[in-house]
Amino acid sequence: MPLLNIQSVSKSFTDPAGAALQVVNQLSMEMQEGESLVISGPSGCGKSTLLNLIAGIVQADSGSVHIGDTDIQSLSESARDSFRGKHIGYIFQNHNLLQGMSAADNVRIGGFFSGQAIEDAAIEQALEQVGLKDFKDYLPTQLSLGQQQRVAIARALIHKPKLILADEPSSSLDAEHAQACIGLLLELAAEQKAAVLMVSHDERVFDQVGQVKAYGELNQEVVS
Amino acid sequence: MTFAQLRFIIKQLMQQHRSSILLCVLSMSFAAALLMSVIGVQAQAQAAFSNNDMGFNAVIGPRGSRLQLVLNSIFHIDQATGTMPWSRYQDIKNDKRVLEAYPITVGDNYMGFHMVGCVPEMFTEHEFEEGKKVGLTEGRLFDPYLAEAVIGSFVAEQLEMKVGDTFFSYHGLQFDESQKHDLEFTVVGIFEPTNTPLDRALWTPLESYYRMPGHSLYGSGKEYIPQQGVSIPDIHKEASAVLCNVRTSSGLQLNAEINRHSKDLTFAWPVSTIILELFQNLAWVDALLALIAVLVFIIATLFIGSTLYQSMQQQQRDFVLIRALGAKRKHLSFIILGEAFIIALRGLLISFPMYSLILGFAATFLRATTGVYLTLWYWHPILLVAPIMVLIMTLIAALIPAMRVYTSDVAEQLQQGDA
Ligand SMILES: Nc1ncnc2c1ncn2[C@@H]1O[C@H](COP(=O)(O)OP(=O)(O)OP(=O)(O)O)[C@@H](O)[C@H]1O
Ligand SMILES: [Mg+2]
Repeated sequence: MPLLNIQSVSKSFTDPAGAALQVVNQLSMEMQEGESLVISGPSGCGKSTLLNLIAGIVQADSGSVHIGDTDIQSLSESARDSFRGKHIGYIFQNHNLLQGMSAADNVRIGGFFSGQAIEDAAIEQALEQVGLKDFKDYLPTQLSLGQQQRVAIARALIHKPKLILADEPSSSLDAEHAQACIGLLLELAAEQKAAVLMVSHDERVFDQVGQVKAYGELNQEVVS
Repeated sequence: MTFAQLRFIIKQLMQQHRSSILLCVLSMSFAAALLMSVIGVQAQAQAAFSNNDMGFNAVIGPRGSRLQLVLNSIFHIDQATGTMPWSRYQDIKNDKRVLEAYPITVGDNYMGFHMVGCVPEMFTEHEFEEGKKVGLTEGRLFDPYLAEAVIGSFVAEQLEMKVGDTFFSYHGLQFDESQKHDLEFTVVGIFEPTNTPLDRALWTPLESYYRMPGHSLYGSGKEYIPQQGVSIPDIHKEASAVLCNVRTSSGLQLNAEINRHSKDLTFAWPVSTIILELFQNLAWVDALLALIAVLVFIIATLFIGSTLYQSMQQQQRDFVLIRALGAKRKHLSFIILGEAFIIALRGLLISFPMYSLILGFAATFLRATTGVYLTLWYWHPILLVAPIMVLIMTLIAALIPAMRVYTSDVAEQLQQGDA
């Protein structure tokens, strides 16, 4: 059984003029456990929307999104929230961290919604794995962008999710840091046998991840 | 998500906007304290004034305002209403319906504290409280024929006077150095503190009042200047007021007799009811103060509302992140209401010390001006109502941001934050 199985998912938004904007149209895809994949595509094509559909943040108009044997799109909002907290790690382009909390506390709350008790030792270990052992008490404003993204990686992994969603996680970083950051994410995810679904239009990332799919290939062209 | 985790998040989020939270807490507690003070102090002052009748239920004095008579002769505030002939005092004293009667004279001061001419029996026989005569902490009572004084404890404390000290009296009730009388008094005793107007006056013999250089007597209708070595005939003596206890059953009768049928006297009875008149006269001041307190309250609520709203705007990204991590809508609303609750709780706790501070100022002022003593331990429902109102108002103020977070769309906000 695939880890992620998306069947004919569609989602449209209403644009400010009131017209329907079909962003995701009859999209289908599959991912196996532990697999890594980049989805590329031009800006505004619907990549972030797809990740939000998988995370259960956005509700689909039709179709199914199975993670394991749960169809997240058939759940209530509250159940989707719980499911996300337990089984998914989410990393964004930037502003990933809660500004008032230290690096360690940011990692800590990654576990709050998982239903697992996360020990202090596990938090320290997670920070050590991303090379921030000595920065656990630093606030986000005291960390560089690369360090902040590494805290976000530690947080996304702390509750050992099966699936990690990453929305352009390296695009706010320079080339060198971007590469290190993606490398770290892939490495740690592999250790935990977590699948990584990344969205990016950065070609350097394509090489690192290996498997790349164009958004347009998965999505049916909207014929108007 | 557990309660401890919720508390952890609230605590961490609140740390970020500590200074605006401090302002919220202070403004809320100030509003509550103000409300508590305005209403609590008023009620307590009223009760304290009504209970502070020095053990007299009536005052008889020259024709004039009953309230002024009571304020002047019992509380030693306000001007004297004039004088009455000694014979009128004797009539009162001999009246069977009058249980006790003590003549006093007023009109002089020392450093702004009223000097009261009186008879020693007022201290040896009269009970200021039921079953209690006033005692001395030091010294003895004055000799009725000498220029001696027993002073109240507050006077002794404020002017740092002790037994053996001497002082001059000054004409009028406000201290004016040019109004000095050429008669030196010696302090022979200090009364124990009573928390009544007694503490705030200097008590001297009637005789010394009469013989004060510069005082003339008009008891007979004609001016009489006392001569040294010659005793003063009763016909010339006078009194500013007579402090009495009358039979309760005779009060109405005396009231009709004196107030309606005599032309020269006023019968102020019952004293505690007349004091209430003072508060009725001051009702508009209370209303104004209460209005101000309520306005402060409303402003504080609006302030809390806008501060919470603002800090919520600032935390929007945080909220979205928390949701992306798996928090439900209701968790975020809990977090905001929790923040508000903690703010209100702190404001509520601080409102009590703030109230005691305001009360302390009011008490010092009242004690210095009237001798009436306010206590921190006076119970009034407002002490419970005001803090609870703070709690409710703060939660209401927090409802708007809480609702907003509840109804907002995470996906849309994620989009904004990432752009
Ligand atoms: N909540 C929303 N309401 C209305 N329209 C939306 C909403 N979210 C996204 N859209 C629209 O859907 C389209 C796809 O947005 P999406 O964020 O998924 O694109 P993207 O591929 O992630 O772009 P980028 O690479 O720039 O991040 C855009 O045209 C956007 O305007
Ligand atoms: Mg996007």
